[in-house]
Amino acid sequence: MSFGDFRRELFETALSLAPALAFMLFAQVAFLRLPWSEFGLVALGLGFTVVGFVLFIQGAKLGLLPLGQGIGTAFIERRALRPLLVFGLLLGVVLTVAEPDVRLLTFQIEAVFGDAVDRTALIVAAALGLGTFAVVALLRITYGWPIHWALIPGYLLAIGLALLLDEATVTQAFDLGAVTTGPMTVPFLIALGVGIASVLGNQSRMRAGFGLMAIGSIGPVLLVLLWGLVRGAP
Amino acid sequence: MSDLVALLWTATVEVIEATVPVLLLIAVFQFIVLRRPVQQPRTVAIGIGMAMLGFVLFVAGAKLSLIPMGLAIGEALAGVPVVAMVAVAFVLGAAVALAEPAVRILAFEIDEVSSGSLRKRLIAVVIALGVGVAVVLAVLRIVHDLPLVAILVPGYLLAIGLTLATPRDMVPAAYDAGAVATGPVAVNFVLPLTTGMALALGGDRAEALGFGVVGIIALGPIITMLALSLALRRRESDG
Repeated sequence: MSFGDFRRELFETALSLAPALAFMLFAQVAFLRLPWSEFGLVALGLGFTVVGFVLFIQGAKLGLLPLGQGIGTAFIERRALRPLLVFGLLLGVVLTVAEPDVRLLTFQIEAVFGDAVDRTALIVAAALGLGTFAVVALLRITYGWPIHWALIPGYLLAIGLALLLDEATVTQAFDLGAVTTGPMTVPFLIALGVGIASVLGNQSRMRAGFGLMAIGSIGPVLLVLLWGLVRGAP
Repeated sequence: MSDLVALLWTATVEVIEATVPVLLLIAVFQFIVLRRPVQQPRTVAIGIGMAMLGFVLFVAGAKLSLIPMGLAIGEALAGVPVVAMVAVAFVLGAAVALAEPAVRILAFEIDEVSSGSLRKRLIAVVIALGVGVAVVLAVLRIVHDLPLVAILVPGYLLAIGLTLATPRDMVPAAYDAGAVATGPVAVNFVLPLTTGMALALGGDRAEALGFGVVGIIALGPIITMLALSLALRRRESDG
């Protein structure tokens, strides 16, 4: 990676955040009218966010992705399906724990609900969900199963459980399921999925390469809902 | 100033807690299970250092800026007429979808893999449309105090129906579109905004009402992408 890459990424991130930034500035001028010293702190935070995001993405590309891809290829070359599945399970778990979006969502849940929620338990349930469904997704790619075999029963079960459970648990489950596929997890899972699909090479790339994230995001929904069912009404 | 230091320190501790398990897992498989040396260990080490520093700044920055601004704007929006709320929600949702880095990546990949028959701009617009409608539904849910299942159950049943009707090739990409639309901007700006709005409007279930928006955002693009693929197929068979 060169400095040029870094600058381009910084520019693109700033550009992609531009609508949100413009919206904030408009709100500040039109109706919010925070003291400008306070707004200065917000601006500093925005600077942190943009620079931090770029450093994170570039660092992940440079450090984490080559590691992940190398390991994925090595499993397939050695035809080690079972170790690959174990790796997929554990990777799903640790990626959820590491996902910045999961941290920030559970931080907000805790800020609003206070002691009524157990942040650690939520993260653990979501992590186990992503781990087990990463295994399902890897099996799907390896054997070429159609994706709706996993998606349709998964979502039917999820909405069935949602009808039984309290509002707080349902919102937490679907929000968490959606955010486990964040900036940390997405590149890792895509790299793994596309790598495996390219080695197997016997199916439509449109079908095999995509869908890992889709299956991965049902897992946390189901596990958080099941955990709510086991825990009982609050 | 000392607040800022404390914020950065908390973020640092959190990031170390989060990344150490990933690194340990990779190390175990790399050196003990697969017994492979790391290629270009220096570059990899620098990359990991950069990613961790970036993570710290990102978490601290979001807590300092995006989250409080979202809350404040949401509170202010609670006072405007519903029509204005809906208009702002749609524009904001669409803008947020276009802002998500992962949406750009997915649109680019679909363009590539479909050999250009699905243009990336079309994909991005269809995803943005889905997210815009989703945020509107989330706002209406807050205003009318509806349970989340009132949106999710019909929504997912519609998605399942479309899945069965649509060409198989498009299904994985459509569901991935839902997964990528819920990135850092949705979580750290739209969610605080709806939470602020729900808390300002009050009511018995105000805490829970603001949440759920991320789950609704994940559903929107799935439906619009599946609808797109159905529409394209119909046009093909007509022509």
